[in-house]
Amino acid sequence: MIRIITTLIIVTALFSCQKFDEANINQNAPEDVNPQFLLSNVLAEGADNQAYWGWHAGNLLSQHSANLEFLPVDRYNLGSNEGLWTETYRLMKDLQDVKVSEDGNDAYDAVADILTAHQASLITDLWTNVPYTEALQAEEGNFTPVFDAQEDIYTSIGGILDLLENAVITLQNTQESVQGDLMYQGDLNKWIMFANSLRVRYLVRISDKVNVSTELQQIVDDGNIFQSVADEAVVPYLSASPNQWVIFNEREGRYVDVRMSKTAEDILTPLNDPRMQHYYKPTANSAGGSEVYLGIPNGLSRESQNNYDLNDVSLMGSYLRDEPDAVKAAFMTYAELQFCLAEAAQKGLISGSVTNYYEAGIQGSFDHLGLTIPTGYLTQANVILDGTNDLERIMTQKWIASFMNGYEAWFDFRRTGFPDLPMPQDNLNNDIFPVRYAYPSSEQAVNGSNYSDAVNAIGGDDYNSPGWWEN
Amino acid sequence: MKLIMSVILVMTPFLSFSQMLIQGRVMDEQNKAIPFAKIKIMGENEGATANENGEFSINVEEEDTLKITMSGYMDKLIPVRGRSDWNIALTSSINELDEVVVTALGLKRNKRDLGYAVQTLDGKEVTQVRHPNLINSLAGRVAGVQTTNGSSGVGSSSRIVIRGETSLSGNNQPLFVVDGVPVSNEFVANNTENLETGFHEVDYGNGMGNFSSDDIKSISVLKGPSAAALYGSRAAGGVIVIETKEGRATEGVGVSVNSSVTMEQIAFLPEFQNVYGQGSGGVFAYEDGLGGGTGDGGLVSFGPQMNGQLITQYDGPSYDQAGNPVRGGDVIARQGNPITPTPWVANPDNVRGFFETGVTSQHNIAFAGANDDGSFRLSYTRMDHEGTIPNTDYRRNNLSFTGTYDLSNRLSVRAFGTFINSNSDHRPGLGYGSENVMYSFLWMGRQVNLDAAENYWQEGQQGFQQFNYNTQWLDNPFFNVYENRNGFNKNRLLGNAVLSYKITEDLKLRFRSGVDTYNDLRTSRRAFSTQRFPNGAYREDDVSFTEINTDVLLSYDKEISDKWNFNAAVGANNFTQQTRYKSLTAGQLSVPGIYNFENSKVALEASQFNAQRQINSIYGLSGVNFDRFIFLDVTLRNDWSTTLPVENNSFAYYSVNAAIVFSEKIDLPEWFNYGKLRLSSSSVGADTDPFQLRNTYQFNQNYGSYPLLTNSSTLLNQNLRPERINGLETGLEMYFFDEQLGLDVTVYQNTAKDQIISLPTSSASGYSSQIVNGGVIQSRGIEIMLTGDVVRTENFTWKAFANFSKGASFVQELPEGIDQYTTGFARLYTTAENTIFYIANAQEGGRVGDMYGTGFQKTEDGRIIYGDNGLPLRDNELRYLGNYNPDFILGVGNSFEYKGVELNFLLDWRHGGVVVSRTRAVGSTSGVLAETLEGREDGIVGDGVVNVGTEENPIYEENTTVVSAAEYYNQFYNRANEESSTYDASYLKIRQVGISYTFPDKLTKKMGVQEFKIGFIARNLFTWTENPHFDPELSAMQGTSQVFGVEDLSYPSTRSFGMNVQFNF
Repeated sequence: MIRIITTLIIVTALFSCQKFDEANINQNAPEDVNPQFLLSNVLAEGADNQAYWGWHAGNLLSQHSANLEFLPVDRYNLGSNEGLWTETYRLMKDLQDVKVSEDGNDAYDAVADILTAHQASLITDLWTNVPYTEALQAEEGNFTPVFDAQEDIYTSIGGILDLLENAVITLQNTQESVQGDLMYQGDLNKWIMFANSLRVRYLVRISDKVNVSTELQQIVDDGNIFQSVADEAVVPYLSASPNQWVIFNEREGRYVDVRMSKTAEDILTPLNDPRMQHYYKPTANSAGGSEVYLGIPNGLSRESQNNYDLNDVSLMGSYLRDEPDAVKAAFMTYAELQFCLAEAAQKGLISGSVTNYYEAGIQGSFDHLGLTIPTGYLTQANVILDGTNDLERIMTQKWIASFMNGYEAWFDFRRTGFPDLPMPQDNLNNDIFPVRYAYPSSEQAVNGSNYSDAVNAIGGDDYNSPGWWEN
Repeated sequence: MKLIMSVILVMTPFLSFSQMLIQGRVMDEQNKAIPFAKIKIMGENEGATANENGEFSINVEEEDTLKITMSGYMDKLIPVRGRSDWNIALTSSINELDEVVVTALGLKRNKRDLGYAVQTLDGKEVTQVRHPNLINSLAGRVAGVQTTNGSSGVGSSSRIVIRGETSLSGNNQPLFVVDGVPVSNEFVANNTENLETGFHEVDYGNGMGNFSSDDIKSISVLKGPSAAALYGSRAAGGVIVIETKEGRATEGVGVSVNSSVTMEQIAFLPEFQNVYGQGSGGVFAYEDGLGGGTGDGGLVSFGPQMNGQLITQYDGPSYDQAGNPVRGGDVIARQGNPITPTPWVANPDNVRGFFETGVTSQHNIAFAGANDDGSFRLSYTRMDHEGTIPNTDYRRNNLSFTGTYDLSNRLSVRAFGTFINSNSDHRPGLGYGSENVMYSFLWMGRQVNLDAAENYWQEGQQGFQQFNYNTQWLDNPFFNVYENRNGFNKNRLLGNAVLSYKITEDLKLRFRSGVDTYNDLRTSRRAFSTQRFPNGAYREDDVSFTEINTDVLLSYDKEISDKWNFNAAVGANNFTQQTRYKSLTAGQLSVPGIYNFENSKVALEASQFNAQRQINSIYGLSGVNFDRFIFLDVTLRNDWSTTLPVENNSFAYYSVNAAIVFSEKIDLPEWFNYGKLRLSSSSVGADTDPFQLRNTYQFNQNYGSYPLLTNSSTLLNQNLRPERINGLETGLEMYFFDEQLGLDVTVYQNTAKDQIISLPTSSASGYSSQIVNGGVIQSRGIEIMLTGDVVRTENFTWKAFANFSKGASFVQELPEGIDQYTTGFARLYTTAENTIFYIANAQEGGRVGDMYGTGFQKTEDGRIIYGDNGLPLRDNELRYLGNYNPDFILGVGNSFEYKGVELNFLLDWRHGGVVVSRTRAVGSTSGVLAETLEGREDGIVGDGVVNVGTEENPIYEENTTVVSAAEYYNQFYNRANEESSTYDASYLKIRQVGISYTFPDKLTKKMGVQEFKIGFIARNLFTWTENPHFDPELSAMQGTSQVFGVEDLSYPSTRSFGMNVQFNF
């Protein structure tokens, strides 16, 4: 009997000692990956963020749409949008890993820098001072990054504009290629155009603070910018899940809770603009008959909404609800570039015809949507640049074109004050247009002293502390 | 065993015996008389009672066996064998002094010898008022133990924490050990993410909830780390040792039956207002539930007063194109035809009426027998439960077998095996959102006649479109529970076998192996038109788990002299655990009602996680006992774990325990019967979960044919060290007044160092958390147990006990460079504004369980600051909300026995702690709660001030601006504003009341039954607590974990009444 027991013990011991050293190797996921998969991820997730947040916040802040119930942004209860904060830094971490990957090359590096510049601008334009130079250093042991001033994030060495400029130079000289490029299929020329177009966007954005004229003119002269909508930086949604436009498979409430705004009605109706029929649906009461498009003012309390019959308020366009793949999530469109150039030309920052840029922008917007410009649209009295309200008209047309493009129209409004948006009646922000999100409270909890410094630097962690370029 | 055989012989009818009179005296161990003991002839209905001097006489046959019983003493069997003069000594049991308790490694020890606190419940106490979840049986009965229930009723997870939370990582669950072999009490949640879309959290129950109380002989709770020092790292939160029943020889055929049926009723409901119906600004008209009417897409109840006026409603009559009658909410069939307005009246019981009377039946039948060489027990338990939430259920089948056999006089074997099947057709969704029916109720207009929603498909839209009072945001509650099911089917096999070999009389070798393996298949169905799944969905989650423990132990036990006893043992253990989790989702379906992956309209989404771990251990222990006066034990153990880095994967444990029975040596007053001082010191280590060392990338859903990978949010750590918990404990155990009164006081201090935690970090660093060793957490507390035989007479006994515990865990040190420690958070979806942070702060005496959130802007003297618009201003600054742990817990039990009638009740008082309530926040925003009636007609002037100065130089004036009630409550109880929804979590509960009657033998004998007992039970009878809306004892679930201090639209807890029948034959 002892022998049996001894044998049992020995057998058990042998059995159990097997694989002891291998038990803790995680077989579920890889420790190292080729950079193409990370690049694909940033493109897919980054583009999705633009459209997702365009619907859920950007469109409301720019008053393309108005909300009835559940998006407190519309009453200027912005909160902190920690989800986007966290996700943006994770995407920037993915891009950092693209750059340090042993399987990478300088083409990957440049593409990663272009996308990093875009993510960095998004985060600083939403929160003002944010961690940048010390960001993404957890692996080196820095878990409490300092917050950098917005000016430095844009203009310093290693900042947004510097990254973009150097990426262009690298891509112009490289023999390498990138994989996993679901936006441009590895066409590095298009990446050069995208980078230069972003430079135009950001140079115009800071043009009230910095003399950007020379640099802008140089970019325009070089001509390596979007030439048509075929070059624009967009990632379309697909017909098959999981790449469908989010509202397509959302509950009814998420769709009907967002409506055409009174602002959109007031801007688009006098223009006889067919984009109105694309962006919105006719009111329920007019459907099937003489179709009308009506909006509801932004930021109404539930009680104030009682003054409106929702059957006389337009829903958002069919392409935003009934089709999984009609939305093209955009980092930057051709139209936006042309409007930036129109603004720059109008302000004398670059030479060239304001009208040409302006009309190319309008054309680009129609092309982006697959619509045709009606004859005579451009020569309408309220469209044509006649020297009186040119900047306002440029910005208004840009506003129409920026529908659903992230927060871009809000950034433009904050900078230029155009179009002239009405103050939402029942806003909860003391009748002030908000200019930023609050910092995520997790930063308070885990990065307290840097958070406090940043709050002091920007003048308070509320929605009303303006950033550097709009101050 | 011989005794038992003789008992069996007694029953043999072929033999006849001669009558004789015997006389005797019943005494205790000190030869003092025990009055009024009962003397009964086994198998007969006759007996006698001793007088006040303990003397008795009785007529017997010479081969009879006597059974002497007395409360407070252990039963004794005496075969008469012709002897006529008896002095019978009974061993006291009231103080459990000489009780044998099962301690580490399954070693049986006399409780008298132990140098640390152990509390034991026998199986009878557990089955008296059977709780469906074993863990709940411990509530109020064991000092220092705190239980929390999941909110989805029978079958949900119960959590138990012994001596407070020492670990910051949040598990803190004790190790469960069955017959010496650890078993799983895992709580494996589906991979859900607490989002606004996708599947809700569902509680499929914790591992120990599978156990049948009827198979349990005893439960011992080993509280401190010293008790756990031999069980290894998983025992850091204490150990609960369960012994299963073995077969015994009985007088009858050895069959016992225990049956109970209980009815559950909801005990708590939010307190609703019944004055104003749905709508805003006093107006409402239903058209399509999507905003087509007046306010009918909205959810709030700030509409017209309910006075019977005529208003169109979702259940109002209308007609379809063919002129057939349909309901207003049959929007598709109606095609815009008008709805006839119907009276606008309150439906005060619309929510209450949704809930049903739950029924739980538990039946056990056990067959047992034994002879000289062995024993067996075969037991089957079936539990059927139908919940108070319609269509929810839970079923369980347990089939268990225990066998013991002496193969020779040196070699013996014992085996226990149980097969458990548990399953359900539907477990309710938890958490915040449309899959929780409480969400549908807290956003439901108070005028809604819910009965009309029972027919939950729209006319002609069966399978495609639900019918509901609101189509914009909410699922019809009936549709939710009948169509959108979360079922599961779990098969579990758990068993162990022990082989013991007596090498010599003093030297024993034991080999033991146990396995615990299960497979749990969970299926989630979602019908077309579900808010979160317009095209329906189907999902399967498949959890497989296997744990194997094998150990050997060589033990030596020697009586060296009269006074000295020495024992020692050495052993080794191997532990392996394997978990496999797999989930597949069809996010849209092609054909309604077919729940099969082939019916998927879209590419399936997959998620998979496999893990394994292994721990090898060696250990030794040694004990010395001098003259039953001093007991000294030393234990040592070393573990090697696969989950730690190779260079740090070995860690040691030790414990030293001493017990000094000072009453043996000190002259104490006569009423002071027994006194023992316990001292214990220990140091235990702990490893971590698998795969905490090296980072991997995570798979994201493909974009077209492009695979996507991304960084994980947690930075892992290749330099982890084992955790260490040092425990100190001392206790005093005393018995007074003929041992009628017992007092046991324990104070303890546990210091946990190098805890392996997931520390939240700034996500700007690239990771939103990191795995670190860090911090020193110290728990200190006191436990007082009082037991008493208040009355002990011939016919009447009254026993009482009280368990008091008070403890707290403080942060002593934090990892370098960190001034406060955010250990986790509970949030609403992923929106940060609705987050409660669990922050441990070292500077200001921070405790584990401190919660922080946002609240109002306030002046220095604490007044709320209002804006010019008359609404309170929030700010983003985190402030202390309170701690979710109680200040103290007191459990009080009483039992009375009078001639076979037994009455017992148990009170549970938990004092202190706070809970943040989402029911309060949502129900106030929506205007359905009673407290929102104030200010409906005239508006509200919020109590606070307005700043009429500047931000730098504020000048405060009293707020005088009137705002509408809707705007006021909407802002005041904003979900992001945790401060306004915080309640005191204290409660006092009548946890259980039981009354039972044991029929006299005279009656039962005729039925051929040995024992027949019938009882009535009530659980959770009353709760007194501050808030009128929910039971503060319930925990919430978010994502894949349980969260505390947060009430997240919890289901009403239940009170239950039932009947229990128990007989043996």
